[in-house]
Amino acid sequence: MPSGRVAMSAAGIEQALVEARALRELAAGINLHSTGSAWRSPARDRCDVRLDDLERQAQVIARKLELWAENEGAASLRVEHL
Amino acid sequence: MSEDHVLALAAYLGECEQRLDVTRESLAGIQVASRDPFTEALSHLPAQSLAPLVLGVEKLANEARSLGDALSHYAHNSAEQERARVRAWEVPRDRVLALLAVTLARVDPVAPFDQWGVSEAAQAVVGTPGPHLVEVTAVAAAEGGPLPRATNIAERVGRIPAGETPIRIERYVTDSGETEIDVYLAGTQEWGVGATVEPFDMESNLALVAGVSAASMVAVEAAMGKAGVKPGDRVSFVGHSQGGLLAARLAESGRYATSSLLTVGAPLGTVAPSGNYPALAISHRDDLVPELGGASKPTRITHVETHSGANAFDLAGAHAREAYVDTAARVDASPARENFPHWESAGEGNSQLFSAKRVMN
Repeated sequence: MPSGRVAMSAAGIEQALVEARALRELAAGINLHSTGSAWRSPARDRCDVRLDDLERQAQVIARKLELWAENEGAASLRVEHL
Repeated sequence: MSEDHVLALAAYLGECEQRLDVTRESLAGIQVASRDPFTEALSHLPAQSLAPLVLGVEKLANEARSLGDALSHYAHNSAEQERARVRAWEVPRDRVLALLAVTLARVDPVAPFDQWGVSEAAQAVVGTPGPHLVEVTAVAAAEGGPLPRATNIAERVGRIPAGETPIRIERYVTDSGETEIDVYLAGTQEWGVGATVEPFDMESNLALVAGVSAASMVAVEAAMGKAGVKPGDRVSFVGHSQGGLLAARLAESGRYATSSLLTVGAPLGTVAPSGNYPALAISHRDDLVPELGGASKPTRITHVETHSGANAFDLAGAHAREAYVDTAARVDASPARENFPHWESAGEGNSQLFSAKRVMN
């Protein structure tokens, strides 16, 4: 019997997944860009490290959002069937 | 400009920052429903707050802005250094080359010296040459009989002729049915000052750098005519040294449907090929000849620079066609090979070698 208490609305879960996709697209976009090869310098190397970290952090947060959406989706289903 | 890559990335990071702000607001607006203790206990899936992720996205947005600012700053600084390098080295180098050329040829400058570049100096030396009378003769086909089309860089550089027959023209019907003509051009054969019986001489070098009529160009066009190459035909040009400069000028001439350009050790500074076709220029850092073209103009062709592997001060070794064959093999084997021109394979074709002699007045 449905309890009527839904842990999370479907719209919220969908919104989280949209933002996760956006984060993955941003990370892919960073990966498509390059600082070029014309100049080498410690400053450029430091920027490259920060870029890699930015890309990785965007992927990490996207994954966490996807897991959150999975978690909330599963909770919603269980609540619906209590 | 070289800083374009970095500035494009900085601009993209600005877009990222804006999008991350949207994401942060969107996530902050999601209401995480609280569950009653009974539901919570049964589900084994405790409700999780989105607050840490919202904070994480906010940090990402800040980092994107900070990194974008750092990259812009870096690009502007580096570009300023690059411009200073050109002012300090490239321009004086052109002046020195111009002075050498003028001194060697004992001609009077026609413009204030500080306005001279390599092209102007070369033109002062050669004047307005031509018309050139050149005899071109088709000789026996290439060694080893008919060959399949060369489809890798090393093989193509290896087919550049040398010595008595500086022009090689091959005609193929490719596997997809296209007729392709490959024109291979040798480098300078005579390094003495002044016109010689050899059209691929120093005078032609200077004339090509100056952008005026050159006997070697007349010879190549005559050979192409004899080989049945017509305006509008699909032609791939390959050249070493002066042959590379000729190849670039022919590729850019608009007379042929240029399907590719490959040069090694060529002084392309005054040509600036458009790159509206697959094009690759290879040069050795220890080879002085590519530098004789003067300061490079902006071009969209791919340029590979590396050390020749020749001993220090072995200038001839660094410029030799054989050294470039070895370098081309390294380029073929490199992970970046996919980004360089490719040539469609074809079975045995028709191959001709041409000799050329200048008719002296």
